[in-house]
Amino acid sequence: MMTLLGIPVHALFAQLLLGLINGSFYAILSLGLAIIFGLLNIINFAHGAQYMMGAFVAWILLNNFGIGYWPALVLAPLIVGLFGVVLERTLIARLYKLDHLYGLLLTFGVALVVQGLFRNQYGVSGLPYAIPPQLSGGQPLSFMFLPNYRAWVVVASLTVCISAWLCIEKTKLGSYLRAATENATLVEAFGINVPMMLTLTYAAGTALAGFVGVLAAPVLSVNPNMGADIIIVVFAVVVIGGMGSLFGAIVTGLGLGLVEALTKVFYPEASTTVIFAIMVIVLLFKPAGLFGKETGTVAAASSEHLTTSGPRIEAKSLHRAIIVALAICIVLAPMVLYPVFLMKVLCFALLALSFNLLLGYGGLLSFGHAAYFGMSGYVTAFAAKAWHLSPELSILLGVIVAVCLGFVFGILAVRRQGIYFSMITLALAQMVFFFCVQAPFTGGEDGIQGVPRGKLFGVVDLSSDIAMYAFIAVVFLASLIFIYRVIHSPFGQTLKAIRDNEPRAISLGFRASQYKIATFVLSAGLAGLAGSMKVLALQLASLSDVHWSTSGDVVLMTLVGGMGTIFGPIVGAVTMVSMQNYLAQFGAWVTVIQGAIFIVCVLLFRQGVVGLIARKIGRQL
Amino acid sequence: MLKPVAKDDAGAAHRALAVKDLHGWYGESHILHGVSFDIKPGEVVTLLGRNGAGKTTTLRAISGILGKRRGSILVDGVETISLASRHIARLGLGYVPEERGIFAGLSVYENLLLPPVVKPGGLSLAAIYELFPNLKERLKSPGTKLSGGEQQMLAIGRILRTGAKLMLLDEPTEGLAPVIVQQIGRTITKLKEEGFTILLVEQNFHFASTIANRHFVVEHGRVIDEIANDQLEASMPKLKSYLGV
Repeated sequence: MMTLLGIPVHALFAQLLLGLINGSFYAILSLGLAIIFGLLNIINFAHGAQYMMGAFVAWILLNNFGIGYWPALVLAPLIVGLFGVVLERTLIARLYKLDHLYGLLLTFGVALVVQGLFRNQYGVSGLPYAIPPQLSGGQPLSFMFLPNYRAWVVVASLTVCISAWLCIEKTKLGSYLRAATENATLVEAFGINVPMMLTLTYAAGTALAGFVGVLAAPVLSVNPNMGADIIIVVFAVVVIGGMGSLFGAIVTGLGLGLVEALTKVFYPEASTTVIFAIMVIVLLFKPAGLFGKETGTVAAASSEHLTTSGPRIEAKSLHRAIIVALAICIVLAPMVLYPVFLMKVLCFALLALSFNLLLGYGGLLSFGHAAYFGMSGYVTAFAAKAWHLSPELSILLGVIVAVCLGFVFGILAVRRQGIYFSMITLALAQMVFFFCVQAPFTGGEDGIQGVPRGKLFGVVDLSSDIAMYAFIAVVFLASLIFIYRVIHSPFGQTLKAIRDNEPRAISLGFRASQYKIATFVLSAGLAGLAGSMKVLALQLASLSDVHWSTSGDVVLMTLVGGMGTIFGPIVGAVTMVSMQNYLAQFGAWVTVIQGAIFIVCVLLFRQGVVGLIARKIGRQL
Repeated sequence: MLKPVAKDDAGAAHRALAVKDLHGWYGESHILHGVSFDIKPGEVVTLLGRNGAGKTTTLRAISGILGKRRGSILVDGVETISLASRHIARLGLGYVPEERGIFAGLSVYENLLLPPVVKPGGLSLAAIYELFPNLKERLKSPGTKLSGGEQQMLAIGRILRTGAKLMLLDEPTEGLAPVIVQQIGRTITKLKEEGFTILLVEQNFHFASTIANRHFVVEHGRVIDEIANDQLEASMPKLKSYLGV
């Protein structure tokens, strides 16, 4: 048998073929994302869910209606595209005048709802979809066995990619699209129906995702989670390629699929993370992406800023009173509520506070807070359990790791603005997630269980829930006051200035990037503190804390409570943790409800609870 | 539905464009404070005024791309104040913005073909090439690789194709070499002879005086005076006080 660098040639080619398939999926999905982003200025987080829908529609057509693969290849994209039309008309169209990030949040909510619904209906075990009989079997080639279906997938997806590209670059319709991407107002002033174009473009992008879903159904199993896994990789692909060039999106997608396959052959441990690693390298050397156009470093100010500008009147004495009242509540709460639940609430509240420092005051939407939260939790758990370190030292170690992680992520992420920033943080956090899945010390799927709480400073025994609660309460209040001080310090004022108008702040001589990195590190450290304490409180470190859904939870808490308010994240955390607790019996419906709350918040309730109260009483809260 | 105004309505139906008490806003700031003027079919009319007087905003309001506007704008007798800009264009109105709006991602040819034909009777491509021979040689280049003058020709040329008979030109001579300014001037004169109605914003009123029938002076978001072109010499002192610094 032939070998190449010690690898059997047929295995190498089989992997390369798989890489080509994955790569062509990445290519179509990132093409769809790029088209939608170009015209609608929306990062379509629901793209993965729409890909999953394509696969499921094909499955449903076959199993419930007896409609086979070939008709499904046309019908499923049409149905998914129709879903796109409805989505765009009813929800997304309301966001065009707002900051990009609202589009990201809204479509994230849509993705949660869609995935939750499919999970309820079909479970997570995955459903088989047979290869159409015309394409079963394969061709024995001299260097490999070529399965017919896989060959078809590559040919079909490349054909679709190239047709889509030609359609945009060479046709009249494509010229409308390109023109509207540059200046939609003028195109409309020429008499072209731009709102209709927006709808159709979104529909076309989602139909492409649905088409990939159908192609994927016989290769992968049809699973409600298949979209969530791929979308984060596609985000990384988009960051690497840059969204300026559609051709770039195609080439990058294919290339990265192949790179991933080669990694699987030569160094399988890194195959899940190699794309994210490439993203890091590209960000370091070519921040705009391989095919991205070097635009100015600073995005233009958007019409409605991410944080709704609340009342300007400061209310220090009111804030002091609220903090005191909060402290009293925290002291009294264990008399009525279960302390472990309260500890969880406080930890998530601290996490949300740390996140809000970044989003509400720095205008930076990080989608990767789970990384610091979960990673520091693992470190603390490991230190306490394996090294028998005291709780304060374990927590300190966890926080140090979170700070280091925050520093590295911060340096990388601040190289891009806006939605790219969010995608980068999400991709980096996913890298941490895969690291935690594989690293031996995290215990994989089991996590680290039975973490000892130990004795604080060797004196206070934390094994009783009340003692642990008291410790967390003290740390929480201290952190709250610390964050409050930071927000109102000259540093905090500068940060807000950078958020509101970065070019102006830079022209005044502030080094915006350094301020952003500093805030990022601060936020990561506090998130790590929350994660470390949560691990000690619950005596368990698990993968769910590093999972992207935790990052999503935090975003939702802050959104519900009111971003850019001091107390909003606390209200949001109390609401969401209680909700998860009491709705736990409904199983997967929790995701659906969370997604729905996301959608409602983004559309109707952007100030959040506390933001609304602040507006009513005319004071900053 | 678009209802034409009754024919007996005091001449409004005989106007290519009739603007009455037009108010306009950018966000919160109130820019136009009751602009009123009208243009007869086949006329060339300029809006003169200092920077910030509201000339460009008036054009943006007429073409419908200004977000918030109130008052009345009749295009060929049809009330357009509550229409979206794409419907206004379909009434036969062509807009050439100050920044020219040439699309970088489109070739010259694609730029030329971009605006849809809204009325019959537009110029053929051959006629446009005859008017602007430079364009014909550069059809394959990206739109923004053209010189400023060529971009201006392209911006005007692509509107001529659509059959729009009412054209809004925002400072077509801005930043162009004198020889190009003359070429644009000849083009506008020719279009006038062919029956186009043209509303022009100009800073260069020597240029304006060579082509226009009438001039409206805009100040603080209002039309404060009207000067017929043959009265221009006599009105010089007055104009200097309007426009001078």
